[in-house]
Amino acid sequence: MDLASSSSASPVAVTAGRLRLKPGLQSAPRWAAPRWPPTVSAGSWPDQVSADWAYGGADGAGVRVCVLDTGVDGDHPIVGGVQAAMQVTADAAGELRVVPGEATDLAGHGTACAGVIRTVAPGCWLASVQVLTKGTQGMGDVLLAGLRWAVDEGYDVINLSLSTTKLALRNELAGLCDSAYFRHCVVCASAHNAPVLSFPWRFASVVSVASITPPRADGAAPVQHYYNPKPPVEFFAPGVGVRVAWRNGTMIKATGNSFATPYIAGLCALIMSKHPELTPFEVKTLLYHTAANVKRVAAVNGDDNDR
Amino acid sequence: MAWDNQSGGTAWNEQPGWQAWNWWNKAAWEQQPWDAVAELASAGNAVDQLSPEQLEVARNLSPAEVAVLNSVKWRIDSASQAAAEGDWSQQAAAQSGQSGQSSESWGWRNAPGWAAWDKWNKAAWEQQSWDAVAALRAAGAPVDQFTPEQLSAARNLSPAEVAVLNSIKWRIDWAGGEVEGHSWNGLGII
Repeated sequence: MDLASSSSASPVAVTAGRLRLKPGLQSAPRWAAPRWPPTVSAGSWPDQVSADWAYGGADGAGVRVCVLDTGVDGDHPIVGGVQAAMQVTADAAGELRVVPGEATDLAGHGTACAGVIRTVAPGCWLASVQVLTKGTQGMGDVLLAGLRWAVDEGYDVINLSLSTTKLALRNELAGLCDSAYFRHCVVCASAHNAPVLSFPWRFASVVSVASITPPRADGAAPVQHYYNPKPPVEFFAPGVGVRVAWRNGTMIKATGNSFATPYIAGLCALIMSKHPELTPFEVKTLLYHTAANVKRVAAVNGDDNDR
Repeated sequence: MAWDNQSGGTAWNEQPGWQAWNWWNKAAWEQQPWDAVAELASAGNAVDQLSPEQLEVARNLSPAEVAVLNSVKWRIDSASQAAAEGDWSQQAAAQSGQSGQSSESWGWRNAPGWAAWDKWNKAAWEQQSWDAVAALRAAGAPVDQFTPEQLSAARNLSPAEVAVLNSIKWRIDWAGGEVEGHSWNGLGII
């Protein structure tokens, strides 16, 4: 895919792995402006937080989302193009570098994740970093390099539908996730499908997601997410038997926490699009307040049926 | 290859029924080249998602291992499909040409050696309380994502079947990368 043409709708262009303003653009987009010190004030939240207040009317515009996965097929109609496609390669000295690559997918997994994000937040700025290979697997060093790049580039949301069981990677992964957190970047990480100890989804600095069976597809029930009062998995989203984009422009029915995570990442993009001043802590709080199984005390007592 | 049991055997393949099962598979082995990956793919397992190292593990699976895995996958998939299309027992009866709910006459159970193999499993079943789902879960299989119909089918798996599944999963996982995506294909084993 031609990245130059695919990024025409974006206010930025990619050059050697760095972002710069396109010629003729007078000012940086909202997400590119410094966010420090934070502009949110203690009194800016409403008395009652609702889904409509959190992300109603938002489409993710102005929010930069990065998918670290098997790559993303930018030509897939569900994805609708990616604004940056990067890959991790080793230079002559053996040092790993993140460089521009083709918007292609080695397995389909990354395209599926990007498709979910684009469906939830169609207006977001979407980037792909290829850290997994054909077998939906990869090396720890490559993941660390890709994640470090995404954090350094200041992405607003990072989707990680993956994890590692290697304890040797734990500390460095935790450090990167903490860095993202303090740079106001929300990292959405998929829980392992099996009950094993893996990372980074178990870190408190990320939003951890597992999957549930989606509501009926006939519109009888809206797509919702749920809060889990028994962490480390914090949220549940549709990820069982869901139709997702796949390689070569196809769609498949798939299951896995991988596909629930981008749903939450998309929601985060919507929230940050409408409230760009919010921190990851506040975004996670909004996810909690807008979860289908979290009710206001008044509603529980029967005084108010509205959340 | 481990499949060619020339080293005197182990407790597993000395079990009653194994000799006949082994003979049948050996005969099949000698008649045509064995391609475990092709057999797995033909049953709908997502072998194209395996890394080269994992594919090498898959290539070395024996006919008996692949037969067990494909058989289990077929039953789990059938349970899932039945949930969407109607009553499972009725479909099974229609397929077997009988009106009862027994699955004893299904094609894969008519294979030579299966009767003794099945009898051994039944004996093990009767001797102790067996929780196939718990055993699969303990090995890391994503049984918590099964539908109720699939869980029902999984509960009927024998100890030997689960042992084979878990053994394959352990070898495939061991050959996997340091980082893995969290999609789930088929049984989550192949």
